[in-house]
Amino acid sequence: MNDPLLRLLALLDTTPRPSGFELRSRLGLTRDTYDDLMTHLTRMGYLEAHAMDGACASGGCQGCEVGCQSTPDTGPRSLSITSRGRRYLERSGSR
Amino acid sequence: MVSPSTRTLTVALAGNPNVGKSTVFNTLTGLNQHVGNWAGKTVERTEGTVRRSGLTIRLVDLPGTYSLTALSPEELIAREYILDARPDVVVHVVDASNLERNLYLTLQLAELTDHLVLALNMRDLAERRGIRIDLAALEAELGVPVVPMIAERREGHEALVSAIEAIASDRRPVDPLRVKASPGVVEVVEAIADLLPAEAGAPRTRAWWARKLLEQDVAALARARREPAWAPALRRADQERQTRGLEDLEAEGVGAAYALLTEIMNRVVERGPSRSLDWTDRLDRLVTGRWTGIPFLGLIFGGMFWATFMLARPLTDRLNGLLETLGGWLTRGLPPGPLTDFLLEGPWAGFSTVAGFFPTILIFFTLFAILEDSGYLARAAFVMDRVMGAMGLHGRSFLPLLMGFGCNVPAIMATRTIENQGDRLLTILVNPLMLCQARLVLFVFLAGTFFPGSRGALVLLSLYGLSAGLVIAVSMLFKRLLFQGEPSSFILELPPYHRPIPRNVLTHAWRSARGFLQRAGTQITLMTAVLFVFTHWPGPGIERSLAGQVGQLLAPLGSTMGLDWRLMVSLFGGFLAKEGALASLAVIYGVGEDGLSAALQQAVGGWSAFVYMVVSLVYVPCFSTIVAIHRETLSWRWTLLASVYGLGLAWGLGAGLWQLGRVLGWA
Repeated sequence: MNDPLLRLLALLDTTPRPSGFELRSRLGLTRDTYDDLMTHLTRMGYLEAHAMDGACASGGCQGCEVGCQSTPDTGPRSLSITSRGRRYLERSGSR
Repeated sequence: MVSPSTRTLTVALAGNPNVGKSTVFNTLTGLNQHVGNWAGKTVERTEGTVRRSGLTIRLVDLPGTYSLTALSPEELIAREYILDARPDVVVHVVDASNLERNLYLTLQLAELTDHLVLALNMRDLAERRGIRIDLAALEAELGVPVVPMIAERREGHEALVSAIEAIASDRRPVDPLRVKASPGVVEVVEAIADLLPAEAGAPRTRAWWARKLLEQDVAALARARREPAWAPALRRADQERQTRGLEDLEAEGVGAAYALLTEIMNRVVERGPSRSLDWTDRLDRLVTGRWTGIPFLGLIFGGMFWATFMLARPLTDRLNGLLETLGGWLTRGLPPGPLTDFLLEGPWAGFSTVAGFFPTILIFFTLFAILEDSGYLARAAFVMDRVMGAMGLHGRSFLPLLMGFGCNVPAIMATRTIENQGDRLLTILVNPLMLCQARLVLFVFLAGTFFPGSRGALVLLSLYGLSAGLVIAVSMLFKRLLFQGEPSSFILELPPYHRPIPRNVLTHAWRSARGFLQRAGTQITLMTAVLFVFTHWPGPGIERSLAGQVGQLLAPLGSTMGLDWRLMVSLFGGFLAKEGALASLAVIYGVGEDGLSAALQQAVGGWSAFVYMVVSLVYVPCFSTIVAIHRETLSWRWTLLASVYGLGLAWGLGAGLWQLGRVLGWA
């Protein structure tokens, strides 16, 4: 399997989940190309992104005492493989 | 004036953002520019004119894009211009120091035009980074002219104009590299393209539209629905998609393009030693490493608790001194009598005992905000997610759990983003086991009283460890008993490391500390007023009070854990608000913070104090948390389970630890 997009999606489906650094190392990707592939996977509906702002209490940071400041720049973003992503992996024999 | 023999060419300048495209444009056109907007869009359109002998080039600067999907207005403008205006030549300006990312757009542009030139800009930067590009090999691979440039130094412009002219006049043959689709896909694309009207463009353009219809490109579908002549092609595309299972056609195309680029990069680019890991990668290798992540996390959090404990102690002592002085003034200023006794031994004792921990809370949240702002907290979440994921638990639970370090109430509300109901309920159920800041106040006091110096920090660290361990163990148990099923995949994107911004850090630390003070001034004061009544009525003496009688009832249970009846009664205060346990102790022992330390040291042993901390950590969520659990689950059954399972767990742990202490001679 030479397709880096599919290999990335398959690695994201493994446990324990590799870090971004490990993924880039294993696939031989630059940080920009890795980011682009993640963007493609999200755009095409194989991954679903959740900005962590959305995970916060109602009222946003004002309603939370944890002191965090999840912004698009500094806050973590969580992603999960969608059912479409899982179907793609199954169809391609990667799951 | 332009002579009649002058030839005019329209040239589009495409490229990723920040590749020096504007510099190329400005250098070529000079002052011959005009700026407007793309029709119907708020995106700026810049055009300019380049004049050479016998040649006028109308240069159109397309918006910077990374690809030609229909994702953004910029991408739509770029691709529609190339498709509809059909410029004579498209110049793709690329950043030589970041070739792989840039060449993806080259492959996309090659799908739209044959007349393509690659302007390889920023060669100097690439060389400085140790990236050597074999220009002849790159040109052969891509099948288009490659013009090396350093736009900032005005190098390569004339060569670019010559290449444009050569391609436009067909003096320079071009055969751009294109991603090859499977024969089956090619056949389908051609069949659909044949159904498109001639106005859709040249055969290559029609094939492109056909592929986009198959990929269900939003803009292509919109156009097909708008123009009746496209209806047969649209119907055929829908039919082929379903019958041939082409749902992942676009993904296969993107994957094939990157696979091709990887091969090209291996053949034409040589990377020197300077392309080593950047410092974020180097740090991440340690911080998120499989074997180093957890020890590093322990070190960071241990360091944070130690620093909180050691830094806050002198400040807390000073603040307590102030509160004691203020208490002395109140004692002297108020007339003696039952009301003064009530005010000083009830609300004031409770408030001053809890408020004395303001520096602890401020320092803890300052350090917490520094970890958050630096980007480390996201790494901690990643490391813990891996541990939880390995145990079959939902990784996304970790972030709401992490919020539980602050307060369990917003943390429970944060579980709303977990779409799987079972995973969400599980996260809600275990969240009260997280050691929140309110419990921290109690633990810092008791650790300082019974385990002075660094031993106190170790006790705090062990309680945080126990909290995390219990969350994992109880999650696994509930998962096995109540929420069986496959955990959803979860990936946490790690933001780059940042230098913490003092203003952000202090704002968030202050917000948390202010909330703590407000609660001390309202809930805790009110609660200690009520507790004062219960510890004095009907009396006389606390033993004959209502609280004393309840305490006597609980004494046998308490004795199994080494806790006397006073400690057992104080747990009721912790139910109303977790810091309330400390305020309750002050009221029950009838002393302020300094007096409380001495009174507790006389009445309670060190091991009992540790067991009491463990029981306080686990036994029951505070009242506000229970309300939040009911609001989020809309179920009394789950609320009841979340409220009471801790009682059994607390007793089991408390009794077990007490017996262990007795065996080891610590009790």
